[in-house]
Amino acid sequence: MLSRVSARSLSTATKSIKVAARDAPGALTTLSVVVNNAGSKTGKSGVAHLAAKFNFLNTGSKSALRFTRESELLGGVFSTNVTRDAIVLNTQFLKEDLPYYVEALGSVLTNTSFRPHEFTEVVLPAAKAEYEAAHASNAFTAVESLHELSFRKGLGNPLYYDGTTKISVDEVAQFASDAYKQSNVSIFASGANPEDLDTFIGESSFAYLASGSTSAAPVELFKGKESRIRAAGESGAFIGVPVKTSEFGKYETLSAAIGSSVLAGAPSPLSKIAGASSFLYKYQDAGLFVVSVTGSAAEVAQGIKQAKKVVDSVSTTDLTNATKATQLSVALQSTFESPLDIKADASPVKLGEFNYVAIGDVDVLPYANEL
Amino acid sequence: MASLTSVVKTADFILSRPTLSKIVNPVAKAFVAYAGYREMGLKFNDLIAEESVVNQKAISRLPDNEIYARNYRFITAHQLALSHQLLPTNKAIQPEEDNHYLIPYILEAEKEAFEKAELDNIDV
Repeated sequence: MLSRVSARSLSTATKSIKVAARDAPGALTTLSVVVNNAGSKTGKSGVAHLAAKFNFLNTGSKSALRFTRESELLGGVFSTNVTRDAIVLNTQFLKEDLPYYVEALGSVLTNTSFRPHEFTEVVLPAAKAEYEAAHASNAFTAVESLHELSFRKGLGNPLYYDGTTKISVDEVAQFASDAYKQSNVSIFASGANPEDLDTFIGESSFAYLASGSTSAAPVELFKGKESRIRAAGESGAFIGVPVKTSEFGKYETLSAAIGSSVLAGAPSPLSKIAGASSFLYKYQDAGLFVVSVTGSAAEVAQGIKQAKKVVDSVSTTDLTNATKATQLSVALQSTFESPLDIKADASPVKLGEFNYVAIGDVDVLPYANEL
Repeated sequence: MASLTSVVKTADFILSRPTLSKIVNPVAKAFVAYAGYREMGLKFNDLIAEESVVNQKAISRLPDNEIYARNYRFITAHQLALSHQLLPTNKAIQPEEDNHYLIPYILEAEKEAFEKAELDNIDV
């Protein structure tokens, strides 16, 4: 009797958590938790990355080592990453282990210990390694810089913790307790029975998740900025245009018409230029349309000028012809965890003012006004 | 050597029994007085042997100010030993200053080590 009553009260306690579940064939379940407004656009630069690195470490109920070993024995895998919008926790396991992982994910969000020694021994080295691995690619550095030029704050914050400012473990814990709120949390389960999942969530630590939500900071868009970064390795030139969410359809169509990196094999104007592609980075409150050329400095210097011409000379007919390609591109990028609802829109797009990042051998690469 | 966890457990057991603690407490006080480490400017936790993996880990996790104070006490004690002197009573470590600043860290490190050993030898 007592247990039934408590179970019911717990499940009402989790009612503002968004749950999407679907049955799938096979013996595997994929369970993801997305904490919106907890990505790198939120809070101090880098704090979200560090908070994400604390996931699956010691909790009040279980040590990190025990969870890892138990998970190995169950044959499950788990990972966590930070995006600009959200902190994402992914797990994949055999169907019968659903309650175990629901509880594990719940206690990550509600009961992580944030021990100071874990911060120095595990979190900081892992964050540093991830930062360095990502920045080993000049293209990543350039896209980061493009975000900074286009949005300044918020979405312009660096994705990973770069060590510029010192962040204490208390700040990370505070960030987590501010961001891990019921209305921010979405749970996606593929290959799980929806009723079972609801019951398990109601009985798990998710019930202790604080209610409420946080809102994203307003986004400002900036254009006409340029940055040149000297770096060894591959050169690249990147044209970026910050895009409002309402214009996603237009720019997806433009991307498909000139050649998108999602449809890499398809013949397109950009595919004739070595190392050229385009992509629309889509976030909750804004997007960034990027046309990039990477390769050797001399090739890039030629290529980016040609790519700029391609974008400028795209006609309404090209855009209309790209409608199907746009639909395919959107479908390819749409996942169960982040479904995209973007309609192809063939209305004409002018690039106009744009942000520009040249990285690599900048002695050879052109300036923005030379394009 | 017995792990510190078992030592702490025994101490807690003794303290939970009034009669037992009435016998052991005066003995402990006498031990501390004759050991004389407080006159050398040291705390009891400074005397715990640090030459083990677990204790090294615990010491590395101390906050910066604790590490600084600990090293300062060591230097004081070395200086006193070299010059064959003891601190005057008002400079010696007072009983209320003689806190367990290190033991919680050792207990946590030992708990981790025990858990690792247990999981390494688990039968499934």
